[in-house]
Amino acid sequence: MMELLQKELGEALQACEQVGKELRIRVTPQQLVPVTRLCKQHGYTYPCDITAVDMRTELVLVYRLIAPDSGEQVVVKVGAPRSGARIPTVSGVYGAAEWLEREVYDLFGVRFEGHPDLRRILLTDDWEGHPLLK
Amino acid sequence: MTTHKPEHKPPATIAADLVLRVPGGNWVITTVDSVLNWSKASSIWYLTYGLACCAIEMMCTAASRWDLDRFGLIFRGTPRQSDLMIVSGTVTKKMAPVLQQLYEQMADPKYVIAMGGCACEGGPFHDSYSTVQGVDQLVPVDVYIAGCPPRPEALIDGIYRLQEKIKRTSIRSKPR
Amino acid sequence: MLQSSVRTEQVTLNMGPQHPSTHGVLRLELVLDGEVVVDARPVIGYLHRGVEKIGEARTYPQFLPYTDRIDYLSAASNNGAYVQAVEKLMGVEVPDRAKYLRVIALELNRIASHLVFIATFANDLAATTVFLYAIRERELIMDLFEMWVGARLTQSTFRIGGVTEDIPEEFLPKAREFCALLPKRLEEYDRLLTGNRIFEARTRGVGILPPEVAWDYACSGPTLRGSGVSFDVRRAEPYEAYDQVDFEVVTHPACDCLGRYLVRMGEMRESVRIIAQCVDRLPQGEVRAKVGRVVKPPAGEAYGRVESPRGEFGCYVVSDGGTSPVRVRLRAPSFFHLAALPQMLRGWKMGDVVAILGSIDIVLGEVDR
Repeated sequence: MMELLQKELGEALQACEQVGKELRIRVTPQQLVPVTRLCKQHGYTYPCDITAVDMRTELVLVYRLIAPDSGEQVVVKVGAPRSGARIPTVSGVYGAAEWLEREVYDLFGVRFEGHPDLRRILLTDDWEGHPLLK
Repeated sequence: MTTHKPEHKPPATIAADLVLRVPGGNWVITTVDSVLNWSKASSIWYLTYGLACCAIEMMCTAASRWDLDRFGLIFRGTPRQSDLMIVSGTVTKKMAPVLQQLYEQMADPKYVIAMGGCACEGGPFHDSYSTVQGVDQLVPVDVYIAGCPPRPEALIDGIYRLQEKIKRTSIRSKPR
Repeated sequence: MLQSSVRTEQVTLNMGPQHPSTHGVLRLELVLDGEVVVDARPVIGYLHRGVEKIGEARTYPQFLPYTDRIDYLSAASNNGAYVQAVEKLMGVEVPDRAKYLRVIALELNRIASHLVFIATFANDLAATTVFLYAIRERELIMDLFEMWVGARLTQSTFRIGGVTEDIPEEFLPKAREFCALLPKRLEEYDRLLTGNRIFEARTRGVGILPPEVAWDYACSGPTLRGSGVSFDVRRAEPYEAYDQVDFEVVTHPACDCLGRYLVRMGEMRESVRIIAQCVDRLPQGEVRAKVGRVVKPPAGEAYGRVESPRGEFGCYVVSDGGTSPVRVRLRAPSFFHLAALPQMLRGWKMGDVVAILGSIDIVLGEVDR
């Protein structure tokens, strides 16, 4: 899988590291949808998790895709600014992304472009702020 | 000169005060009290407001080992038919208006038991941004039961205390 | 002729956060055309306690009891995912005795959780007797845990590096007794429920979840295995002592409520087998690795996954070398199953909503965290 991604993305693959069963890569937001689609075609059909981490200097969105047959994981990381982030949605690729992206929006304030129903999911609709930011 | 506004007394209190003026009236009132209190305390129907982990212990208390039915407590799904609201679990800010609405939908006399640390004062989530630190910020609480979650015996002890509290009331006092 | 001239409209019915059958504080907005569900919109967040944020304000060992309270019906699985992630970061080697004890705790929790599932599922379908029977069996498991760690529900049996303490002498004979007793009781439930005409009518063919939809929504556990897919984290990525015990992964091809129920019944039988094997083969030794008082994993990230009774429970921990995590993310299976619920509800009647919702066995503590 690593070779496939390196071939497809070439220079655009910002980081690539195999740690145990996880293949951790970092891409730009524009490549997010093509990369996830590629992974899904090659057996990574189980969208285990989508979340974000506030690293103080930036937000890192973490997409964990697992191939159920082999147990191999691809962890796609995307950098985003801490406020005003706009990331393309992957809900067209994986159905689970719809609610997961709503949660990331709710707690971190990341807007997902193209999302069918982007609104708060865990907090009340009139909540101000995004609590999981540091 | 201040005008003294007479305090509004409920009809039961006015009637009881009249009875007290009659010789032997005291005995009548205490007998009526004890009969009414016995019936109220022996048949408290509770609304399971099961929010989180404490709800499971409440369920276990209602099941066969620590049967709650032998105390007269039956689970009702609707607040309209309940006397007691056992708040078991963490109350979040999103849930708070719902809790208040349910409390208002219950008919008098009604009681609230705060079961577990979260309902008493926030519990382990006392510094969270989304929890209400204790259900007594929303509704008046009669009995607090500590624990995380409290054992079924602790819940039954809390219900005993509530029954004792009910038995201390009188028709002369204002209804809750 | 009369049918076409009668004007009908759709009704939005609120199955509110307080409802005996929602298994917690879930709000379902149902759009009904008569009795048929046209659309269902779950509204969650009524139990959002901000646990992930609290994780950043606690030290690593202090956060462990919080994990018990996420999926409160099977506290050990949440513990298991969290300590797996922290131990991966720290490179801690857990002693063998602790691994077997952990498997015993996990499987006992699995049985306890499935018993609550049977109790509430049957109760929702008006078989209240089974509720009382299943909770009676579950009390035996609570007794075992009380004997071991002192707590019934939120046990915190795990510690970073092992388990909290060794089992007392009375534990193993009682565990063996329990393993001998439970299969007989499960037969009783089979007689009461599985062959029951009313139960079958309400669950057979109801609430279909096709496997493609299940994968797309990242379903796991019995919800996925009830659609015929054999995926179990204990086999996909074995942890603790699961590679050394013998068990079957139970699946059912029907994709309906009955299939999911049968998977859970089968899993309870397999769990009894696993516990019996662990009890017989329990190695001697330490129950906790030497981890310092102050836990400071090196900077990095790790993902721990366990097969909880609901599915894959994962814990993603990011560390910067300090005493508190930078981020603790809890990946809860019920969140995904609830996202797939509207697909399973469309086209069914109002009365089936309760059966379908019960069959996916969600716990709102882990949906909302």
